[in-house]
Amino acid sequence: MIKTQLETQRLILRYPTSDDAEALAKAIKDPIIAATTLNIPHPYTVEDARSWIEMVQDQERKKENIDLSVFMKESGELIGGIGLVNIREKHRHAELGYWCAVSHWNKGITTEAASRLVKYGFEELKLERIHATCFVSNPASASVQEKVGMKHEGTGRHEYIKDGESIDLHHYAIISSDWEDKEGVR
Amino acid sequence: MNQDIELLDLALETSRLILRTPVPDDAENFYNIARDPEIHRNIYTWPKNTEDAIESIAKIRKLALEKTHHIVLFVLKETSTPVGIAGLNRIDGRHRKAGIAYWCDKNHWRKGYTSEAVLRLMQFGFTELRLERIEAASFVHNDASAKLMVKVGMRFEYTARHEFMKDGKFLDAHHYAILKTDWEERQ
Repeated sequence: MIKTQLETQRLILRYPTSDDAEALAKAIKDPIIAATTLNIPHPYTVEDARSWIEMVQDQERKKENIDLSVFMKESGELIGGIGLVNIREKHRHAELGYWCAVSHWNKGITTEAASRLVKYGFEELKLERIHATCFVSNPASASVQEKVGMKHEGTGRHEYIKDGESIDLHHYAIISSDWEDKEGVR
Repeated sequence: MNQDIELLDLALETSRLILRTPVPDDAENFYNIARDPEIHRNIYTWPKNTEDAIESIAKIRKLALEKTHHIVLFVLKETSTPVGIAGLNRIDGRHRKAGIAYWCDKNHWRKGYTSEAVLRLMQFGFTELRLERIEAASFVHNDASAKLMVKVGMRFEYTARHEFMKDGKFLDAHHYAILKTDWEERQ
Protein backbone atom coordinates (compact mmCIF):
# COMPACT_ATOMS: atom_id res chain seq x y z
CA MET A 1 0.00 0.00 0.00
CA ILE A 2 2.81 2.39 0.87
CA LYS A 3 4.46 3.14 -2.46
CA THR A 4 7.81 4.51 -1.37
CA GLN A 5 8.54 5.41 2.22
CA LEU A 6 7.51 7.52 5.20
CA GLU A 7 9.81 10.04 6.81
CA THR A 8 10.11 11.73 10.18
CA GLN A 9 12.70 14.10 11.55
CA ARG A 10 15.19 11.34 12.36
CA LEU A 11 13.76 8.26 10.65
CA ILE A 12 12.88 6.52 7.41
CA LEU A 13 10.11 3.92 7.48
CA ARG A 14 10.02 1.57 4.50
CA TYR A 15 9.46 -2.04 3.50
CA PRO A 16 12.59 -4.11 4.06
CA THR A 17 14.25 -5.80 1.07
CA SER A 18 16.37 -8.96 0.97
CA ASP A 19 19.44 -6.70 1.31
CA ASP A 20 18.27 -5.77 4.83
CA ALA A 21 18.21 -9.33 6.18
CA GLU A 22 21.56 -9.22 7.97
CA ALA A 23 20.93 -5.80 9.50
CA LEU A 24 17.49 -6.95 10.67
CA ALA A 25 18.88 -10.09 12.33
CA LYS A 26 21.53 -7.97 14.07
CA ALA A 27 19.12 -5.29 15.33
CA ILE A 28 16.54 -7.74 16.64
CA LYS A 29 18.82 -10.35 18.23
CA ASP A 30 18.68 -9.22 21.88
CA PRO A 31 16.58 -11.71 23.87
CA ILE A 32 14.62 -8.88 25.49
CA ILE A 33 12.99 -8.16 22.11
CA ALA A 34 11.71 -11.72 21.93
CA ALA A 35 10.67 -11.56 25.61
CA THR A 36 8.51 -8.46 25.16
CA THR A 37 6.80 -9.45 21.90
CA LEU A 38 4.65 -12.40 20.89
CA ASN A 39 6.01 -13.69 17.60
CA ILE A 40 9.69 -12.72 17.44
CA PRO A 41 11.86 -15.79 18.10
CA HIS A 42 15.15 -15.99 19.95
CA PRO A 43 17.72 -16.76 18.68
CA TYR A 44 16.88 -14.89 15.45
CA THR A 45 18.93 -16.00 12.45
CA VAL A 46 19.59 -14.26 9.12
CA GLU A 47 17.45 -17.02 7.65
CA ASP A 48 14.57 -15.97 9.96
CA ALA A 49 15.06 -12.40 8.71
CA ARG A 50 14.96 -13.53 5.09
CA SER A 51 11.70 -15.44 5.51
CA TRP A 52 10.14 -12.49 7.41
CA ILE A 53 11.14 -10.09 4.62
CA GLU A 54 9.77 -12.43 1.99
CA MET A 55 6.51 -12.71 3.92
CA VAL A 56 5.96 -8.96 4.36
CA GLN A 57 6.51 -8.41 0.62
CA ASP A 58 3.75 -10.88 -0.24
CA GLN A 59 1.03 -9.05 -2.14
CA GLU A 60 -1.80 -10.92 -0.43
CA ARG A 61 -0.40 -10.08 3.02
CA LYS A 62 0.14 -6.46 2.01
CA LYS A 63 -3.60 -5.95 1.51
CA GLU A 64 -4.13 -6.13 5.27
CA ASN A 65 -0.67 -5.63 6.75
CA ILE A 66 1.90 -2.88 6.38
CA ASP A 67 5.09 -4.14 8.00
CA LEU A 68 7.89 -1.58 7.76
CA SER A 69 11.47 -1.44 8.95
CA VAL A 70 12.73 1.65 10.73
CA PHE A 71 16.05 3.22 9.66
CA MET A 72 18.06 6.10 11.09
CA LYS A 73 17.98 8.78 8.42
CA GLU A 74 21.59 9.86 8.90
CA SER A 75 23.38 6.54 9.20
CA GLY A 76 20.94 4.34 7.29
CA GLU A 77 21.11 1.83 10.13
CA LEU A 78 18.12 -0.52 10.54
CA ILE A 79 16.99 -0.05 14.14
CA GLY A 80 13.49 -1.38 14.43
CA GLY A 81 10.22 -2.53 12.98
CA ILE A 82 6.75 -1.04 12.95
CA GLY A 83 3.50 -2.11 11.39
CA LEU A 84 -0.17 -1.46 10.89
CA VAL A 85 -1.53 -4.96 10.73
CA ASN A 86 -4.90 -6.70 10.54
CA ILE A 87 -6.26 -3.73 8.60
CA ARG A 88 -10.02 -4.30 8.28
CA GLU A 89 -11.48 -2.09 5.61
CA LYS A 90 -15.03 -3.08 6.57
CA HIS A 91 -14.61 -1.72 10.10
CA ARG A 92 -11.90 0.80 9.20
CA HIS A 93 -9.63 -0.34 12.00
CA ALA A 94 -6.10 -1.69 12.30
CA GLU A 95 -3.58 -2.74 14.90
CA LEU A 96 -0.25 -1.06 15.59
CA GLY A 97 2.82 -3.12 16.52
CA TYR A 98 6.52 -2.33 16.86
CA TRP A 99 9.93 -3.21 18.25
CA CYS A 100 13.16 -1.22 18.61
CA ALA A 101 16.81 -2.31 18.85
CA VAL A 102 17.94 -2.16 22.48
CA SER A 103 20.84 0.22 21.66
CA HIS A 104 18.26 2.82 20.58
CA TRP A 105 15.89 2.62 23.53
CA ASN A 106 14.94 5.74 25.51
CA LYS A 107 15.42 8.15 22.61
CA GLY A 108 11.80 8.50 21.58
CA ILE A 109 12.48 6.56 18.37
CA THR A 110 9.47 4.26 18.61
CA THR A 111 7.13 7.10 19.53
CA GLU A 112 8.41 9.04 16.51
CA ALA A 113 7.89 6.09 14.16
CA ALA A 114 4.52 5.16 15.69
CA SER A 115 3.21 8.74 15.46
CA ARG A 116 4.06 8.78 11.76
CA LEU A 117 2.29 5.52 11.07
CA VAL A 118 -0.76 6.55 13.11
CA LYS A 119 -0.93 9.74 11.05
CA TYR A 120 -0.69 7.65 7.89
CA GLY A 121 -3.47 5.41 9.17
CA PHE A 122 -5.89 8.26 9.82
CA GLU A 123 -4.96 10.57 6.96
CA GLU A 124 -4.18 8.19 4.12
CA LEU A 125 -5.98 4.98 5.01
CA LYS A 126 -8.92 6.91 6.53
CA LEU A 127 -9.08 4.57 9.49
CA GLU A 128 -11.54 5.17 12.33
CA ARG A 129 -9.65 3.27 15.01
CA ILE A 130 -6.10 2.10 15.63
CA HIS A 131 -5.55 -0.19 18.56
CA ALA A 132 -2.49 -1.70 20.19
CA THR A 133 -1.73 -4.09 22.99
CA CYS A 134 1.27 -4.73 25.19
CA PHE A 135 2.18 -7.18 27.92
CA VAL A 136 1.36 -5.62 31.30
CA SER A 137 5.00 -6.28 32.23
CA ASN A 138 6.13 -3.80 29.54
CA PRO A 139 5.46 -0.24 30.77
CA ALA A 140 7.80 1.23 28.11
CA SER A 141 5.48 -0.01 25.40
CA ALA A 142 2.40 1.28 27.23
CA SER A 143 4.13 4.64 27.40
CA VAL A 144 4.62 4.70 23.60
CA GLN A 145 0.93 4.00 23.14
CA GLU A 146 0.02 6.85 25.49
CA LYS A 147 2.43 9.23 23.78
CA VAL A 148 0.89 8.65 20.35
CA GLY A 149 -2.49 9.60 21.83
CA MET A 150 -3.95 6.20 22.56
CA LYS A 151 -6.23 5.73 25.54
CA HIS A 152 -6.13 2.76 27.86
CA GLU A 153 -9.33 0.78 27.29
CA GLY A 154 -8.69 -2.05 29.72
CA THR A 155 -6.77 -5.19 30.51
CA GLY A 156 -7.39 -8.68 29.20
CA ARG A 157 -6.40 -11.47 31.55
CA HIS A 158 -4.40 -14.49 30.38
CA GLU A 159 -4.81 -13.60 26.71
CA TYR A 160 -1.58 -15.25 25.65
CA ILE A 161 0.51 -18.17 26.76
CA LYS A 162 4.24 -17.59 26.31
CA ASP A 163 6.90 -20.05 27.47
CA GLY A 164 4.21 -21.78 29.52
CA GLU A 165 3.15 -18.60 31.37
CA SER A 166 -0.18 -16.82 31.03
CA ILE A 167 0.15 -13.17 30.06
CA ASP A 168 -2.22 -10.26 30.73
CA LEU A 169 -2.50 -7.60 28.03
CA HIS A 170 -3.16 -3.88 28.15
CA HIS A 171 -5.47 -2.67 25.39
CA TYR A 172 -5.01 0.82 24.03
CA ALA A 173 -6.72 2.60 21.14
CA ILE A 174 -7.04 5.93 19.42
CA ILE A 175 -10.11 6.82 17.36
CA SER A 176 -10.35 9.48 14.67
CA SER A 177 -11.91 12.10 17.00
CA ASP A 178 -9.03 11.66 19.50
CA TRP A 179 -6.66 12.14 16.59
CA GLU A 180 -8.40 15.28 15.40
CA ASP A 181 -8.38 16.73 18.93
CA LYS A 182 -4.69 15.94 19.26
CA GLU A 183 -3.81 17.45 15.90
CA GLY A 184 -6.07 20.44 16.44
CA VAL A 185 -8.02 19.66 13.27
CA ARG A 186 -11.23 20.82 14.89
CA MET B 1 -5.36 -28.43 24.36
CA ASN B 2 -6.85 -31.82 23.72
CA GLN B 3 -6.65 -32.12 19.96
CA ASP B 4 -8.23 -35.56 19.80
CA ILE B 5 -11.77 -34.32 20.27
CA GLU B 6 -13.89 -34.33 17.13
CA LEU B 7 -16.11 -31.26 17.07
CA LEU B 8 -18.28 -32.37 14.18
CA ASP B 9 -21.64 -33.81 15.18
CA LEU B 10 -20.69 -33.86 18.81
CA ALA B 11 -23.88 -33.47 20.88
CA LEU B 12 -23.92 -31.96 24.38
CA GLU B 13 -26.79 -32.18 26.84
CA THR B 14 -28.18 -29.98 29.61
CA SER B 15 -31.27 -30.44 31.74
CA ARG B 16 -33.56 -28.90 29.12
CA LEU B 17 -31.46 -28.76 25.94
CA ILE B 18 -29.50 -30.70 23.35
CA LEU B 19 -26.65 -28.80 21.71
CA ARG B 20 -25.70 -30.27 18.34
CA THR B 21 -23.89 -29.31 15.14
CA PRO B 22 -26.51 -28.17 12.60
CA VAL B 23 -27.11 -30.37 9.54
CA PRO B 24 -28.31 -29.18 6.10
CA ASP B 25 -31.93 -30.06 7.01
CA ASP B 26 -31.81 -27.43 9.78
CA ALA B 27 -31.48 -24.58 7.27
CA GLU B 28 -35.02 -23.28 7.55
CA ASN B 29 -35.01 -23.37 11.36
CA PHE B 30 -31.60 -21.79 11.35
CA TYR B 31 -32.90 -18.92 9.27
CA ASN B 32 -36.04 -18.53 11.38
CA ILE B 33 -34.14 -18.32 14.66
CA ALA B 34 -32.36 -15.17 13.54
CA ARG B 35 -35.26 -13.66 11.65
CA ASP B 36 -36.38 -10.99 14.08
CA PRO B 37 -35.01 -7.47 13.49
CA GLU B 38 -34.49 -7.11 17.25
CA ILE B 39 -31.83 -9.80 16.96
CA HIS B 40 -30.26 -8.05 13.97
CA ARG B 41 -29.50 -5.04 16.16
CA ASN B 42 -27.23 -7.18 18.26
CA ILE B 43 -25.30 -9.37 15.85
CA TYR B 44 -23.10 -8.67 12.88
CA THR B 45 -24.19 -11.27 10.33
CA TRP B 46 -27.10 -13.64 10.03
CA PRO B 47 -28.62 -15.76 7.27
CA LYS B 48 -30.81 -13.58 5.04
CA ASN B 49 -32.80 -16.53 3.64
CA THR B 50 -32.83 -20.32 3.61
CA GLU B 51 -30.15 -20.53 0.88
CA ASP B 52 -27.94 -18.32 3.02
CA ALA B 53 -28.58 -20.62 5.98
CA ILE B 54 -27.60 -23.67 3.90
CA GLU B 55 -24.29 -21.96 3.15
CA SER B 56 -23.77 -20.98 6.80
CA ILE B 57 -24.38 -24.55 7.91
CA ALA B 58 -21.91 -25.90 5.35
CA LYS B 59 -19.34 -23.43 6.68
CA ILE B 60 -20.11 -24.33 10.31
CA ARG B 61 -19.59 -28.01 9.53
CA LYS B 62 -16.31 -27.31 7.76
CA LEU B 63 -15.04 -25.24 10.72
CA ALA B 64 -16.04 -28.00 13.14
CA LEU B 65 -14.10 -30.52 11.05
CA GLU B 66 -11.09 -28.19 11.20
CA LYS B 67 -11.61 -27.96 15.00
CA THR B 68 -11.44 -24.18 15.02
CA HIS B 69 -15.11 -23.50 15.80
CA HIS B 70 -17.76 -25.52 17.58
CA ILE B 71 -21.06 -23.90 16.66
CA VAL B 72 -24.24 -25.60 17.75
CA LEU B 73 -27.96 -25.37 17.35
CA PHE B 74 -29.63 -25.75 20.73
CA VAL B 75 -32.98 -27.48 20.75
CA LEU B 76 -35.48 -28.33 23.47
CA LYS B 77 -34.88 -31.85 24.66
CA GLU B 78 -38.55 -32.73 24.96
CA THR B 79 -39.88 -31.42 21.65
CA SER B 80 -36.72 -31.01 19.53
CA THR B 81 -37.82 -27.39 18.93
CA PRO B 82 -34.79 -25.34 17.82
CA VAL B 83 -34.40 -22.27 20.05
CA GLY B 84 -30.97 -20.80 19.43
CA ILE B 85 -27.43 -20.87 18.11
CA ALA B 86 -24.28 -20.72 20.22
CA GLY B 87 -20.68 -21.48 19.57
CA LEU B 88 -17.07 -21.57 20.64
CA ASN B 89 -15.25 -19.54 18.00
CA ARG B 90 -11.65 -19.13 16.93
CA ILE B 91 -10.45 -21.96 19.16
CA ASP B 92 -6.77 -21.10 19.62
CA GLY B 93 -4.67 -24.07 20.67
CA ARG B 94 -1.49 -22.04 21.10
CA HIS B 95 -3.00 -19.64 23.65
CA ARG B 96 -5.67 -22.06 24.84
CA LYS B 97 -8.51 -19.62 24.38
CA ALA B 98 -11.71 -19.23 22.40
CA GLY B 99 -14.48 -16.76 21.83
CA ILE B 100 -18.11 -17.49 22.60
CA ALA B 101 -21.18 -16.14 20.84
CA TYR B 102 -24.89 -16.85 20.95
CA TRP B 103 -28.35 -15.83 19.91
CA CYS B 104 -31.81 -17.06 20.71
CA ASP B 105 -35.12 -17.09 18.83
CA LYS B 106 -37.16 -14.16 20.15
CA ASN B 107 -40.09 -16.48 20.92
CA HIS B 108 -37.92 -18.19 23.52
CA TRP B 109 -36.32 -15.22 25.23
CA ARG B 110 -36.21 -14.83 29.02
CA LYS B 111 -36.36 -18.51 29.86
CA GLY B 112 -32.66 -18.94 30.56
CA TYR B 113 -32.07 -21.23 27.57
CA THR B 114 -29.16 -19.23 26.20
CA SER B 115 -27.25 -19.13 29.48
CA GLU B 116 -27.92 -22.85 29.88
CA ALA B 117 -26.38 -23.49 26.45
CA VAL B 118 -23.48 -21.09 27.07
CA LEU B 119 -22.65 -22.69 30.42
CA ARG B 120 -22.57 -26.12 28.79
CA LEU B 121 -20.24 -24.86 26.04
CA MET B 122 -18.00 -23.29 28.68
CA GLN B 123 -17.84 -26.54 30.58
CA PHE B 124 -16.90 -28.28 27.34
CA GLY B 125 -14.26 -25.61 26.62
CA PHE B 126 -12.61 -25.76 30.02
CA THR B 127 -12.82 -29.48 30.73
CA GLU B 128 -12.67 -31.19 27.31
CA LEU B 129 -10.73 -28.63 25.23
CA ARG B 130 -8.68 -27.59 28.29
CA LEU B 131 -8.99 -23.89 27.51
CA GLU B 132 -7.49 -21.25 29.80
CA ARG B 133 -9.75 -18.37 28.73
CA ILE B 134 -13.11 -17.86 27.01
CA GLU B 135 -13.94 -14.35 25.81
CA ALA B 136 -16.99 -12.60 24.44
CA ALA B 137 -17.95 -9.18 23.16
CA SER B 138 -21.26 -7.42 22.69
CA PHE B 139 -22.37 -4.07 21.34
CA VAL B 140 -22.79 -1.61 24.20
CA HIS B 141 -26.51 -1.20 23.48
CA ASN B 142 -27.13 -4.89 24.09
CA ASP B 143 -27.93 -5.00 27.81
CA ALA B 144 -29.35 -8.53 27.68
CA SER B 145 -26.07 -9.91 26.38
CA ALA B 146 -24.00 -8.04 29.00
CA LYS B 147 -26.30 -9.42 31.67
CA LEU B 148 -25.92 -12.93 30.33
CA MET B 149 -22.13 -12.68 30.30
CA VAL B 150 -22.10 -11.70 33.97
CA LYS B 151 -24.63 -14.39 34.83
CA VAL B 152 -22.44 -17.14 33.37
CA GLY B 153 -19.41 -15.90 35.32
CA MET B 154 -17.62 -13.68 32.83
CA ARG B 155 -15.92 -10.52 34.02
CA PHE B 156 -15.93 -7.18 32.25
CA GLU B 157 -12.48 -6.30 30.87
CA TYR B 158 -12.82 -3.25 28.65
CA THR B 159 -14.92 -1.26 26.23
CA ALA B 160 -13.41 -0.83 22.79
CA ARG B 161 -14.51 2.40 21.17
CA HIS B 162 -15.75 2.42 17.56
CA GLU B 163 -14.56 -1.13 17.11
CA PHE B 164 -17.14 -2.20 14.55
CA MET B 165 -18.90 -0.48 11.69
CA LYS B 166 -22.49 -1.54 11.22
CA ASP B 167 -25.07 0.11 8.97
CA GLY B 168 -22.73 3.06 8.49
CA LYS B 169 -22.25 3.65 12.22
CA PHE B 170 -19.28 2.91 14.44
CA LEU B 171 -20.24 0.88 17.49
CA ASP B 172 -18.49 0.42 20.84
CA ALA B 173 -18.16 -3.11 22.16
CA HIS B 174 -17.95 -4.43 25.72
CA HIS B 175 -15.41 -7.21 26.19
CA TYR B 176 -15.83 -9.89 28.83
CA ALA B 177 -13.86 -13.01 29.68
CA ILE B 178 -13.80 -15.95 32.06
CA LEU B 179 -10.64 -17.81 33.05
CA LYS B 180 -10.38 -21.45 33.95
CA THR B 181 -9.78 -20.44 37.61
CA ASP B 182 -12.97 -18.29 37.62
CA TRP B 183 -14.81 -21.28 36.23
CA GLU B 184 -13.45 -23.68 38.81
CA GLU B 185 -14.38 -21.34 41.65
CA ARG B 186 -17.96 -21.36 40.45
CA GLN B 187 -18.22 -25.15 40.45
